[in-house]
Amino acid sequence: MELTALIRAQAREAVMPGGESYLSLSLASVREIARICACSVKEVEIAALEKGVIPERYQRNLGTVGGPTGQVRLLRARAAVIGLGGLGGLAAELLARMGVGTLVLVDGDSFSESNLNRQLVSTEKNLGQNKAAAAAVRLQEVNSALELITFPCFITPENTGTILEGCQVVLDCLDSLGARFLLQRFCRELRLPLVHGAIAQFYGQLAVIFPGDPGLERIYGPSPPDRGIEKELGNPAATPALVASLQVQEAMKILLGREDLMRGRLLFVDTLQGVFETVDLGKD
Amino acid sequence: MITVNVALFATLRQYNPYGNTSEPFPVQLPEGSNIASLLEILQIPPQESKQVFVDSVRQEPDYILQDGVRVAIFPPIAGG
Repeated sequence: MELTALIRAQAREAVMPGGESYLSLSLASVREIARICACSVKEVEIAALEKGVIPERYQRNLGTVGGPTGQVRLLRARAAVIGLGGLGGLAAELLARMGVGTLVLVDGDSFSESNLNRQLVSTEKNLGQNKAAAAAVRLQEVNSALELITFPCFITPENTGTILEGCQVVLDCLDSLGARFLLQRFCRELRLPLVHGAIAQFYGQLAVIFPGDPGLERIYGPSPPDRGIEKELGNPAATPALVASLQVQEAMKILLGREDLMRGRLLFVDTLQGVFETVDLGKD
Repeated sequence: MITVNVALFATLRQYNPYGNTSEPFPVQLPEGSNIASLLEILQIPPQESKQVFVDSVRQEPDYILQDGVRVAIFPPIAGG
């Protein structure tokens, strides 16, 4: 039986929380069809969505991503998460759950005990393991449709071009300014949008930087130190989760082709005083 | 004299003479004063205040302040 016929045969009538009926495809059915047709889980999901059949795992996404067409767009997209620590671990998880089809995971560091307070992928069992490799193990369990490309290394001028090849969006989840500026340089050269996030203690910030936009130099100045106030203040659990969530919302909007982005502005978050401040980054 | 409205964020709030808050407060300065002289009056160490935005646009320490502008000052944060 061909793919479409199998999808139609396995689809079941279901009802949205809002009361509208739709055709649903369970995860077990997607896997069974992929096995019979010798194709990937992602290919089955895309084929189903194109026929208006909703893989059940994405049902609650549809109102946000613009229906089945938006979900297909996400499944066909490729996003890079650079740094798999406090920001990147959660960002990668949220992108995986939304169904961004290919994730490039990059980190040369390994998990240590001081990561356990905030870095989602770290567990007592995977201490000592490479962060990008450990993230891939977790994400495969979260969403087996995904293609996961792992680089267990730090970005360098030599490898960054290769790492970012084919991506539509890049998430800056790094923890040093030297590496962040290097990443921005390559994003500009390769014409890729960069979603910057950074945190320290109760504070966080977010900026969406397209090629040609004012960027990190407008935030940090021309010759910044490699670290900020986090060096003294440390990093708790909730601040990176908050900023990573904001980064993922912006990345999703970029992948979906939306125009209402946080471009040309810096969002500064102070969770101690409950203040969200936006400043203009000016024009180049 | 000119008056500028200053807002200090995150760890810089401690230099607000009216209390530990990000609410804007007025500072009077001689005409022709720049950002560096404002930081000196507020006793903010220059290394803690690399990110100064005047009416939402980042400016350097030698930038001359005009009457009525809003100055927002942030510390650098870079953790992940």
